[in-house]
Amino acid sequence: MLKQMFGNPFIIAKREVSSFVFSPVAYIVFTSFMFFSGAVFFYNYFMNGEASLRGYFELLPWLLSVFIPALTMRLFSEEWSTGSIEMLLTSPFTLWEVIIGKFSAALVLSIMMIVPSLLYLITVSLTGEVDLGVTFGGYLGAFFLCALYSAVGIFISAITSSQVISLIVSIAVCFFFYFVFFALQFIPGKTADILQFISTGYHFRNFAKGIVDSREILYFISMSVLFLFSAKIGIDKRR
Amino acid sequence: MIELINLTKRYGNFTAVDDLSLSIGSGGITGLLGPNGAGKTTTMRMITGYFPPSAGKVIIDGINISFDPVAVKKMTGYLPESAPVYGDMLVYDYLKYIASVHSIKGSERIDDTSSMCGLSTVMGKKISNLSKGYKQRVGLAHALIHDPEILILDEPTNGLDPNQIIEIRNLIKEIGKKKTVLLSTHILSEVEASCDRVIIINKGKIAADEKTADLSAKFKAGNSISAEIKYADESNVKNALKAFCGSVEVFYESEGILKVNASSERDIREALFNCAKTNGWVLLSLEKEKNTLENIFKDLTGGSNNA
Ligand SMILES: Nc1ncnc2c1ncn2[C@@H]1O[C@H](COP(=O)(O)OP(=O)(O)OP(=O)(O)O)[C@@H](O)[C@H]1O
Ligand SMILES: [Mg+2]
Repeated sequence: MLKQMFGNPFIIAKREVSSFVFSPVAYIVFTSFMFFSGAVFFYNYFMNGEASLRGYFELLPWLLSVFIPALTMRLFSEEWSTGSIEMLLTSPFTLWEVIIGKFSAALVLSIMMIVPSLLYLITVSLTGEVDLGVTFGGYLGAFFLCALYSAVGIFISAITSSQVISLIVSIAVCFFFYFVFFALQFIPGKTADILQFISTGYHFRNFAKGIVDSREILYFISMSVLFLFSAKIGIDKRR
Repeated sequence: MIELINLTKRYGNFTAVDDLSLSIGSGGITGLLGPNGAGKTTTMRMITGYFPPSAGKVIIDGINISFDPVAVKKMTGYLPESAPVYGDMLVYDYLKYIASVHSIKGSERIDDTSSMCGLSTVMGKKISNLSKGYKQRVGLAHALIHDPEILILDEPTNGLDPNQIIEIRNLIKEIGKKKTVLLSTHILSEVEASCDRVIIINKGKIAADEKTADLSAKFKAGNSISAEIKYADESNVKNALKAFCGSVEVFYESEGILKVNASSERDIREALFNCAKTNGWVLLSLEKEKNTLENIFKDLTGGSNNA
């Protein structure tokens, strides 16, 4: 039963991950992500004498908004543009298996981008004290952020055959969901409450403060499912 | 094996496949023949579960594809038009991936399929670097790897050179001995060369459905001639030819020359010549009608074809 549900998505995910990792795009994406995140961490570390991952986690949502769409842009768009989607969807998979497979691939790749930051964690622990709550919350938040942005990227990729459009629109959507958090202070009353609820920034901040609340987890899971579900509808409409 | 019941597909207001019903038994090769835009690809996409029909049913080996698509997909192999396989993969990796999709363990099946499709020499090449013919073979290997009972091939020899066409045709014929094959084409000779049965569709509807042998016997050259005769009288010719021809058409072509179209069970050219000799007619031309199948196709599909 478990094999039936997860066996096939795993096959798709494995192919996607290895095909991305061995592509030139992967080098560009991984190295530039390392460069930007490393720059912020070491700037804070050496210039401000701040031995923590606070700056890293602050920047992370912005970086992920750009880099996760670069991971997801080809996942469906390329299938549409080459026509290989026809072979994929006539293979013995359900559409959910296909979507879950691609989603897992995106999630694995985005986690691969974050893993090197454990080096920063080690650096911090050598010279100062690591706040376990904040670190754990930050990483958990980063994981959920990766999941949500991957789902966004997969949805956009599912509805366009152009990788460029997929990239740009996904970045815009990810930015939007994060940015509404900053717009909050200018908006009064009820609207602010709604915006706060949909804002990834608000929910991520709570994680990064070390507050792990089931409401935040529920928010990320339901938003991710919503986008994956939209991807399914998009593919069904288009095929 | 394959049963289509009132199958219909609409794109907006446009009906691409229109209330199509047919049944294909197990074994043998069936050709789906039709001009561009006839609805061949659309029909195949519904049979393979790429998209659901707007109306009607697809039943494969007793299973309604809408109810259990995965079961149907497991027993069918599909080669889409232009064989869209992942270009960034090596041939071997691709076949391995497809084998894992079908939960096939070990390399035996990969080896068998690759040698069957003539891929053994290119296993280490990147698919995007292959020629069109070899890409097509990779697509075919994709369709064959799980040894499916039913094979759906959309224009399998499209864009190949003559040698490759022959090779792929032979391969398909070999497969057709054991499995059920449905292939589409808009080339008549393709059907004549490889199919046991031909279903001609046009504008989403079935225009003809015959055994290839019957189709040829019914309409084909050999028993149908046209001749031009000088110095003869219309009724004389009619009477003389009636004796040994099934049907005779005689009309004046120009001054003193009669045009004769006749067909019968057997070749009548010799008899016509002898008849002309005894009657003192002059036979200006005598031709066996060629490629009547081509004409039939044109008639059935309203002339809009590039066969
Ligand atoms: N996605 C689509 N949206 C709108 N119309 C479509 C779509 N796909 C196909 N059609 C139309 O449906 C008709 C049938 O197309 P189909 O591809 O099935 O023809 P075909 O017989 O395979 O032709 P060909 O020999 O060119 O491959 C065509 O008129 C085509 O323009
Ligand atoms: Mg077609």
